[in-house]
Amino acid sequence: MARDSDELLNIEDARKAFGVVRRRGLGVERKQLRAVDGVTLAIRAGESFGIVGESGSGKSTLGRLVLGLEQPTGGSVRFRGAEVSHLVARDARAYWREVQVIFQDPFSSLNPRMRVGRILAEPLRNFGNLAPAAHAARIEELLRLVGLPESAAQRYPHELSGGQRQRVAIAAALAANPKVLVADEAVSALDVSVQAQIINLLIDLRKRLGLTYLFITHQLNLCAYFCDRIAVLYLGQVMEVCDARRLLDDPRHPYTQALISAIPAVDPALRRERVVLSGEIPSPLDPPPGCPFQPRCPRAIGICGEVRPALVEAGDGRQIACHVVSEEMRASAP
Amino acid sequence: MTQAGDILLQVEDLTVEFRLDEGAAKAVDGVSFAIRRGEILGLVGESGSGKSVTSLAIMGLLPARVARVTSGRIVFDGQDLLRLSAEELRRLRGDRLGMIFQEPLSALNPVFTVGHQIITGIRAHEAVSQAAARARAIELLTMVHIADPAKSVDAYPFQMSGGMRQRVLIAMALASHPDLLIADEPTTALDVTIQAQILDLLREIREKTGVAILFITHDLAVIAELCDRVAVLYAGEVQEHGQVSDVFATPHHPYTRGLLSCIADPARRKPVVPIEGRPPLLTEALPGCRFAPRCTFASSPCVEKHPAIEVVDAHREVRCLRWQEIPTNC
Repeated sequence: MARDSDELLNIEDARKAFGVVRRRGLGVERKQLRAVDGVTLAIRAGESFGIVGESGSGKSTLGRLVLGLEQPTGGSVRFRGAEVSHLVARDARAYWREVQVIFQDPFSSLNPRMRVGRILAEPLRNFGNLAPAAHAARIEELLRLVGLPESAAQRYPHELSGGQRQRVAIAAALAANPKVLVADEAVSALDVSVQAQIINLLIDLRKRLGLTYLFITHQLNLCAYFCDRIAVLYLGQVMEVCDARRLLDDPRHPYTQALISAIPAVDPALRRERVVLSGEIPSPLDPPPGCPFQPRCPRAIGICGEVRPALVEAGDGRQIACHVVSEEMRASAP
Repeated sequence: MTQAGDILLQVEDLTVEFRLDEGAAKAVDGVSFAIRRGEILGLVGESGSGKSVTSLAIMGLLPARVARVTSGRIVFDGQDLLRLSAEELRRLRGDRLGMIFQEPLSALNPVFTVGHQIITGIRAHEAVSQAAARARAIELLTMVHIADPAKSVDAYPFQMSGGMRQRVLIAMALASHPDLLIADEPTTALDVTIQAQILDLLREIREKTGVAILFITHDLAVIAELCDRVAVLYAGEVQEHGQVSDVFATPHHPYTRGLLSCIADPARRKPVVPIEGRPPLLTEALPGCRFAPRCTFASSPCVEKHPAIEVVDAHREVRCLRWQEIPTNC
């Protein structure tokens, strides 16, 4: 299939289902949990692409598909045109030299028995594109890059603050000079003042290193601040893809509208009219028929409960999966 | 019924010390605030600011082996809670003081139905029949908008979502018509659309029952949505205190100002400006202002002299030597 030359990651109709066995009385019941259910996205080189969703939206599973940590059960995830699962099967290290990750909790992703210097030496050894004699200088450089003093190399993770630990995790991810950095809730566990420091660091690193980010988060505001484009996920499906600023100023999908209106704002002047969503997010084990958002949607019509809406172009590079919006577009078309 | 507006809880000069290997640490240091009947007061701060320790001290739930209140008074409706016996305090909790926490799953017993847990709570404080307590439990579940309460009363916690479990805990906390509800990060673990529902519910319950709420959070925006007044905590001290609308529109303290500019809200059309550095360790002795090492406005007196909390006007207090020079726009 044709691929735009500046597209780095192509996710096409990607699916990931997990088999789940549930006890039911004396017997068991086998079910499919469709964590990612037909997601299509293209991520361009050099952009910060945001993936926003609430619990059960499949955002983390999507990140794991991109990293090749999970195999898709359908569709494809490609990096520079090549299937990620093939790349990982052939030479996982070569792939992870290009695509790296930072997770939410730096405390559990850093080995507590290693000093920071050794933690950073590991990826240098693993990805082996540097002579061992050059490691010390590279470790110093990495620490400087993430705003840590050289002396941090002598520290153990428990001696560092949460923000400093996340800086170490970022340095470790950058050790192999990756092209893509997947950040899965990378700042969610941090205090707001530290969160702001890390966000600014990531923005700065992108400028300096020309990184492409896949920024996975439940915080839409933060995502819109940090990212160029955003995909909004709900129960494993893409609801809306749009330029970040435009998404926040003019959300078109009823779910995006509700999500944005639910975000509390400090400034009363910026407070949005609230779209009250009734009910809870359905379990991905029992997704509703048709559009996944339809049981909670204030604008749902008959067809929404029957047919899953396709993700369609809505102008200005925006894509929406919503029958109601599609109807409106058809009605207003010349 | 007492008139709305008079003081329900007065915390005066509260100091809580923890015994650590490294020495004594003051987690809360001379904290004072008051809550009027029917009022929602927000305590906001980052990790280690002392906000949760303050709430534990009020409830008498500090871990006795390592923590103790070394000074101050906590006066609830005329009586000093620090002078009550353990039994008197136990009766007060769950009777006139309700509590809700961050993680609704760990606050519920997984092997009993939610109805059983609400009924046990009711009957521990009131001499009522099982049937009457059950009827009351269903009534409470209705009040917190649990769907199909007559059926949900027999559900187990694992059969409910996080949002529903938090509603159940709110129902339990309200069982004995408390005067004060202490809510420690009750929406932090919830999705944003569910958080909005719970905030609506707390507002509605305050309107209906006149319960006062002490709401503890790290999230300034949640404070702005829900609370009447706010106390901003940093390193165990109240740094600024006032009406939410005043404090957030014209922050007098550089820390409040800094927190506000850390918020990434693209609608503000302003870059995020972090507060550099990190909060002091509780064991660190700082002779001057606790925030001075991170403060862009700090001058030498700030480092040398510990600022007292200063009254700005009838509704506003601030702990900063230079507050009059701090620009309030941010």
